[in-house]
Amino acid sequence: MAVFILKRIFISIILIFIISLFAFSLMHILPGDPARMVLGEDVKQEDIDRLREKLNLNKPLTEQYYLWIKGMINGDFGYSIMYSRPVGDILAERLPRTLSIGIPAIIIAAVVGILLGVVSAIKRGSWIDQFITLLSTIGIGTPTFWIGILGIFFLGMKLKLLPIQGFVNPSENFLEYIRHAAMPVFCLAIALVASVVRQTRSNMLDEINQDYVRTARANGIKRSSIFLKHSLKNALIPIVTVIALQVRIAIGGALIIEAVFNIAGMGQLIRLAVLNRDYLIVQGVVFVIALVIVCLNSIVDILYGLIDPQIRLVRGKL
Amino acid sequence: MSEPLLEVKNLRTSFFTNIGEIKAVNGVSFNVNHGEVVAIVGESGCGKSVSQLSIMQLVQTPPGRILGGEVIFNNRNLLELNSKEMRKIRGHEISMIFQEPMTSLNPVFKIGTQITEVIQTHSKTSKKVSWKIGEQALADVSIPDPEIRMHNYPFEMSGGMRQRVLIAISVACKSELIIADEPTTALDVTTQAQIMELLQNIVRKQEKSMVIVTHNLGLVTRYADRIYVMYAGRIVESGTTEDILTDPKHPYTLGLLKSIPKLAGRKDDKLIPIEGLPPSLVNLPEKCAFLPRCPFRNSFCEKNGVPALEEKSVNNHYAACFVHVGKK
Amino acid sequence: MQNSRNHLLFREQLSIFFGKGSSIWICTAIVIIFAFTAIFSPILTPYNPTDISFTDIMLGSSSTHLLGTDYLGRDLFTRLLYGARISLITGILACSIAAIAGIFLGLLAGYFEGLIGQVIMRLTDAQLSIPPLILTMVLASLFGGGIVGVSIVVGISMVPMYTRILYGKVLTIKENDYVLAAKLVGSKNSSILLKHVLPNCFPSLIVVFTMNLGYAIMLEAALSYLGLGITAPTPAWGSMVSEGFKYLRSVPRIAILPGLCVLLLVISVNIIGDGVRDSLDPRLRGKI
Repeated sequence: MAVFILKRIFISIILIFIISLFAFSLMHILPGDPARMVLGEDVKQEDIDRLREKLNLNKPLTEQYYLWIKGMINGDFGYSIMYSRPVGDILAERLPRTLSIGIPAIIIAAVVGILLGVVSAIKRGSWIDQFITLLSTIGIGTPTFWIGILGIFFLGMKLKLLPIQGFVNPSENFLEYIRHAAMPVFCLAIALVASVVRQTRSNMLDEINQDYVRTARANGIKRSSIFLKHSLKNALIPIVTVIALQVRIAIGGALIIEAVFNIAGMGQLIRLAVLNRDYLIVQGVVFVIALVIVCLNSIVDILYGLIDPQIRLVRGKL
Repeated sequence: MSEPLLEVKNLRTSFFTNIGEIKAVNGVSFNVNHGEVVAIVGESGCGKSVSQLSIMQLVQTPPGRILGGEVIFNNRNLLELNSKEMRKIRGHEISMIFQEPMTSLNPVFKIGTQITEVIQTHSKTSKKVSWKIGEQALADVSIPDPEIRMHNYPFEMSGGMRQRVLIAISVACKSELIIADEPTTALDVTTQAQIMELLQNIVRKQEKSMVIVTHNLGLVTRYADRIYVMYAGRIVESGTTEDILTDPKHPYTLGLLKSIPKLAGRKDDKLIPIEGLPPSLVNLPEKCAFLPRCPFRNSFCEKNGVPALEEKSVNNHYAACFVHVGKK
Repeated sequence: MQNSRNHLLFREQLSIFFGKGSSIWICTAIVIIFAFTAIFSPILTPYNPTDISFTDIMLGSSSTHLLGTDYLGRDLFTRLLYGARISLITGILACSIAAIAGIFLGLLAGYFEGLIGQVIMRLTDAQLSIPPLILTMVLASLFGGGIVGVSIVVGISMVPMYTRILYGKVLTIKENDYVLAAKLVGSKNSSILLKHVLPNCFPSLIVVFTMNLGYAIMLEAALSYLGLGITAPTPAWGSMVSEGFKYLRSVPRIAILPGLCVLLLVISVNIIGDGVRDSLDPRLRGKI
């Protein structure tokens, strides 16, 4: 098991390295002077030179990369041109907001999705199954931004049930937080739930058709026992993958939701940063997000090792 | 003990698909007496597996459905039982083992867990006692170091050993009848012999009865007391092993016997297959299904179909054929 | 011993596809309608999607303007029609780019394995660690806001899907005896790849392609909504929704209708994709 975990961590480090190279290169891919791109067209040369100094742009690339990494390890993500503040501060401020929308959405999606998926698989062919499948097909095809707009229109403007934008910290006023976050979370969760339901359903169906289920039935074991004990444990592996995948999708979705509902989170941040070519923010955000995802995937793989003995005992060599 | 343990009468099971009704089991009747080994032999797709699944009510419904017939086991018609009562019989009074030992066990649970689960489903024994019973069952099927093996996962065992485990489950539950559906087909030849010997031992020692379903006529000649030959969803010949081997009455049986390669044959002896292909089970004729492939067909057969069971049965050696062929 | 004919006859595939009931017919019809409007948009409407008219701002639906006009006096119906063009063209283009690149990488990685395989798969994994929307956003600034640029960016984000599927498939196909036979006869690797390996991947590829199309269309719409995709004044459904947001209270249809179009098109394409997958290889159900 230890070998397995070490192997996994090693691979993660390689991935993080590759991603950091990518994030770092963003500033330098485009032809032209990054400093000039940030500051704009009609700006004095000395301002550009000053910015170049500040951003270490005159040093060799490898050294720039090293300085960047070193800075990040120390929590220094650079200085934002747009906001005139350290990037790290901005990130620290905005990350909780994104998380307080994203995490509830993922949890809801996981719980509701697995539940509906299992029900759908067990009652395959019945009207419940068809209904759930229909809903999930619609859910996957629904553009997140559109659902947000619809929600704002009907619930916010027409029915005046919920506020149409803005954000309140849960630590400040929990009720208001719920009121403001309800629609964003719900809209984000729709696409997530749909894909979890689909994946869970098909995994459970696969497991139900396995030979060992036939053996168990031939030996007189109760259907419910078979589903809950046998099939679910086997289906858990791909389901855990699915949930990990949801994080990746959720981040993209959060970006859109934040734009629709005007929430000042990480999504808005990187969007404005791209539009304004504030590359330090872009680098930092991309790197941090990818880091989180890589770590998450490693944890998921390690979880696999716990659930599936074959992976742990045989494929630990990977 | 003159009443048969299992009496199947005119069982009919069909699958309803979008290309039509597939009559997989089309009026099958056979018996199993106490303490005997009965073989059901036929090609792939002739309905032998489906008939056994029908007995156990394990047919996938939809698209399958048991249309009629009776399955009398210990004086009860199994087809009339509800699912709860049927569940009590499965694994407890009738055990079934399948063809693919590699996938028939759940990969994420230990062997011991899976055995004790079945034991505890059918009796009120504690986990500890069930575990001991499981160990004993593993020993009964000649698995070395059973205490250690109980803690193994399926992937830590070979195919032959997994099949032994599956047999051990039926030993542990002391079922009266074992239905073995192609138990050795997925195993290599040496292991095949071992498993067959094991099955025969268990049946003799513990006075069980067994139904072996296989396409390998050569395999069962050694182990079966009586043989039923199936073709296109029907029984076409039945009799004792000796009768069938020495005096096959149905052209299909004759064809099967002839097509077994002989170890003692000459090098340039050609293999003698049965000409033609098995019929589609969707549009089965009411008359003899073997007609198109039969080298002995004549105008009488073509007009009069197939003789009923009682008509042509001599010494319980029955053949659904008007042309009696002996081994030439 | 693998049987390479374990897929159904085309006739049977068609009957499975259309046997799924009216839903497939409806969806095929919807997609055909959209494709039709995309191709024939100039004929179907007298207006240009970018014709501004300050006298006709925010008109309701009438005989001259089927769905009314927007805040710049542009005919809404026309813009929706031309938007179909954008969505379908970028979607198909993006999927094609992704397919070509992904197939190439997947073949290489799966067939040769070793260092190349490891490098390609690690790069793919790294790309998968970045959420696609973020990746496309960041790259969008590099490629500009035209149809080609957006298609390339969306295509790049979808390459890993193809690479992975191909990689897995090639690994399995490689073990088949007919590949070994070809090698023994002395065929060049490139000819083995093209003649034996690739054709056996086609069913999976077709399925992935049809299922990705919906995703590509969604992604383009989202990018346009965020202002990082197709730039004004070209009518893209996504950007129409974001522009119409300002007028949501007064004239909601400007924002809602384009989104509805995205919904209908994507769902229809997805359902057709499911149907294609079921008729080609139901074993893939859930894997893609």
